[in-house]
Amino acid sequence: MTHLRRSFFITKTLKPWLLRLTGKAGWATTLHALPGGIAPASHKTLSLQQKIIRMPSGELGLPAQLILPLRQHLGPDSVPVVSVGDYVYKNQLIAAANGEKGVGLHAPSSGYISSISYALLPTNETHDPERSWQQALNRHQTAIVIDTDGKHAIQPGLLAANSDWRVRSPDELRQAVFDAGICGMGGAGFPTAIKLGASAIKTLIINGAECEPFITADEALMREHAAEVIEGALIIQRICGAQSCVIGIEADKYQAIDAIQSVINQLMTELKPANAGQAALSLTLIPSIYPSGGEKQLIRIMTGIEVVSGKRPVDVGVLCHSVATARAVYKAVIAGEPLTSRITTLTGHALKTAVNVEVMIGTPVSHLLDFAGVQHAKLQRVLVGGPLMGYEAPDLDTPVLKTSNCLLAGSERDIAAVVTQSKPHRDCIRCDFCATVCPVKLQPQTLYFAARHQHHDASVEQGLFDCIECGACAVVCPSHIPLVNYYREEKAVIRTDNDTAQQAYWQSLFEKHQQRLSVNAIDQQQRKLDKLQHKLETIAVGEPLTKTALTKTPVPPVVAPTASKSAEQIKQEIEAAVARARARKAELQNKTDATQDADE
Amino acid sequence: MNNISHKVSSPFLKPVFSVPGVMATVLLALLPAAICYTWFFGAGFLINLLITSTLGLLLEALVMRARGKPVLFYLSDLSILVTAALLSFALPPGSPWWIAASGIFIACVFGKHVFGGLGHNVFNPAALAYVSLLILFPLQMTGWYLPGSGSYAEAPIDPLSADGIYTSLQLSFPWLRDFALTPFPVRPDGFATATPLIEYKFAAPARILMAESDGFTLWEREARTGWEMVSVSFALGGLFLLWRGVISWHIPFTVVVVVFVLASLFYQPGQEAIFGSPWLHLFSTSTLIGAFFIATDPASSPSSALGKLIYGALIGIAMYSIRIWGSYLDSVALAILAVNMCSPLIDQLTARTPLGHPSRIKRWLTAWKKAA
Repeated sequence: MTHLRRSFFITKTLKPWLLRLTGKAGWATTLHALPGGIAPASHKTLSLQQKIIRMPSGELGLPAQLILPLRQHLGPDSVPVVSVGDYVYKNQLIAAANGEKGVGLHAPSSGYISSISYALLPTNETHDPERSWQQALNRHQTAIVIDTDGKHAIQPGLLAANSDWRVRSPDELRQAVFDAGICGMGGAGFPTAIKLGASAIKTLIINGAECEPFITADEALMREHAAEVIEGALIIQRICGAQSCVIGIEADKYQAIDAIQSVINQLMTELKPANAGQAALSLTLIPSIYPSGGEKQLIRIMTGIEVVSGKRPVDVGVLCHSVATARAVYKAVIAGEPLTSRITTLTGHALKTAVNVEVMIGTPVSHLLDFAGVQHAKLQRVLVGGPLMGYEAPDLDTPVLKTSNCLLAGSERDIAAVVTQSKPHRDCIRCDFCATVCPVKLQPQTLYFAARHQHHDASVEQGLFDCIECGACAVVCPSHIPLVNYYREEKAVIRTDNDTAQQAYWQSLFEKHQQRLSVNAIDQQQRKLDKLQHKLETIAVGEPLTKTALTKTPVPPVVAPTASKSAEQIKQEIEAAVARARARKAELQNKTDATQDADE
Repeated sequence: MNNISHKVSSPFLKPVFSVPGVMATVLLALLPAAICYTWFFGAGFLINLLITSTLGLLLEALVMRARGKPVLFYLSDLSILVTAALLSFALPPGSPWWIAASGIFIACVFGKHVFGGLGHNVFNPAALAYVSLLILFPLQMTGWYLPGSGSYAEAPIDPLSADGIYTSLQLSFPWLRDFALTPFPVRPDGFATATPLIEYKFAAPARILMAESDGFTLWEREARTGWEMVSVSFALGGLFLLWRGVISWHIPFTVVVVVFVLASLFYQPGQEAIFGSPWLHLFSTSTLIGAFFIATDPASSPSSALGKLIYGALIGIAMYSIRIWGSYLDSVALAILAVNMCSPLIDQLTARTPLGHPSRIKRWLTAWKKAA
């Protein structure tokens, strides 16, 4: 039961000290402790047996279709600039960035566009029966689909930017990053160009702490492409003007550390006489605790800075990028290649071979699983991302996104949701295990009560929106409460309630409905008037009154129903009714005018 | 019921702990103390444990049925067994069966389920039941009838021999005596009267000193010194819980330290009968079971580390004060109940500050400035 805590002690205290004593290079003099955190079994050796496999190659062919969602990043959806039936080359822009805050999308391979409005299944897990209709609006996502032709043809005439990046201006470099459609590749997918536009950056942190179990994409990248990562880091440093650049890697990634360190040493010896001070580049080893790789957590460990709640790290002069983003920047600036592929870990005990692949964005999950030899009998579920922060792939056509660092085909022993919709969890016993592992120093147990009972004010006050959804609390909860689910749900509810755009939309629908109702009422009175008018005319002519006077069908002769009333009486009654209907109509019209005036 | 309405999302990792696992660990930690207790005080403890456990499970099932919840699911959390075990340690061995029965009834119904069940109780159920029994049945709760006490030179019986066990049974179920051929002469044991949670001021310590001067050592089976060994086994069980990560160090540490410091401050050599020595406060009373097993009940103690330290210190102070200056027979359970009442307030005042939020002192200062 306590293997988790014991190994936690070893990784948090013992191992770093041993490494420091043995003189392993790169230990910073001061590391700041991360409050909480857990040390689950890492399973990383699974996928590190082989080198990265590139796509397309002999082993791993092109998929027949590439599915490219228009929303792979935070911010407005990209806007398609191609139409169905167009032929696109590799690296050609197929969806433009929607304004400054957007991110462009490029074709990973050549082929014909077969759809630009392919509807994706929702990956949003939160579901509140009362609000499902609101959430459905947020979920709607479309994708561009390319039928690949297998030629992998590059557009003729596209030039690689080959001039030395050191002489190009930061703005020019930033534009290159923007044009390449790069967003943060660690998970959240924040547009990189926006982050790079921040001013007054003192420290640049390159995040190589891949703390989640099973995922080895960054580690493999650092092992095999250390030089590209470092070069990319230097480019980012030039763009943002940071005085120092620190690369943070978890202390148990020995090969990656060696690779990065040797590149740094080489660089330093080259630069030493000329401008050693300019490239203040260093490597810091951090203890391997989950979630040390979270942006704010890593900043806290490496600099001791607490980012104020609700602000971004750039506000305190720290910029954090993942190693994968650094490499994407390198490729964009040096080779002029847009972001069309990424390194993704294929792992899990349901696969025959676990391996890292450099895969095209938009490749369906099923294509990769077939390549890795999935054993369906063992397969419990497929996760995009790791077991702690990933989400379940809604189906096997789900594409690989710019942010997908792992595909985990988990067997029963890898991943298990103990609580399901049909199986209840126990009551909270307030044991506090969750608070001891929370890296943000929240009190998950009190937050749970607030979130579960939808006490919105209390939840926000207790730091609901500081929760990074790392899942450490849910892993140690003895009552097996899916805490993160409750927080996520509460966040979604509060966000929907506070979404003014959405509120305005529903308000406008409601007003239109009201308007329609009032128009109908006026019409009704008008019809009444017409009917009465017709009756008057009938009486004037002297015909007997029938109920079906207005219908055009032949009327069977009936006995006049006016036996008890004289024609004069009927006329008076009708005139009174006309007056009433007119008054009502006028009243309604005035009301409508008044509301319209008020609106204007 | 805690059925979730939404689709399960991350994390997908297998949970590390479970409620039955935690409760089983606590039961395991109580095992050495149980063995020690039986060895020194006879089978009366086991009889009490049997009564409280079976009746506890039955009551829990009934209450859960009445509350319309799945019975087996809630029984399987084993929490009622922990309550039953703790209560059995507090009851005098050899008390009639209905003492144990009413004790577990109070613990289960009034201690736990009137507040909403496990995790919602304001007081520790075992402590609440014990104090209630003390008020309701003072005579039965303060009289100890031990089969094998050294004070009875005329009829010393080994408490774990067949005779001893039969005597214990007779004590628990008085109607058995009607069938007995040689009825056990029921006379209260003057020495063993003041034992576990009932301290009877310092009668017990004085007897221990006497026993030691008579040439007994702690290791010999002698009811007068038995409680010290039981205390040590509680401490061992507590250390086991700490090692397994089931309890945190804050509460037991502060309780023990505060009691020890207070006892040292007021200690006057030669006046043991008034203030008692620090050793006596820790090992000849029920301080350790209180510190490690009862005060650490997660539901009725605060959650933040600072809150736990304050809570433990308050319990230590209350324990010592009631013991020395109070007129009540028991100190530990009363101290814990009293501080349990403060725990929600402590919880609120010492809530942790999430990273990136202004610190507690800063918040207080701004609130102060606003008010001024």
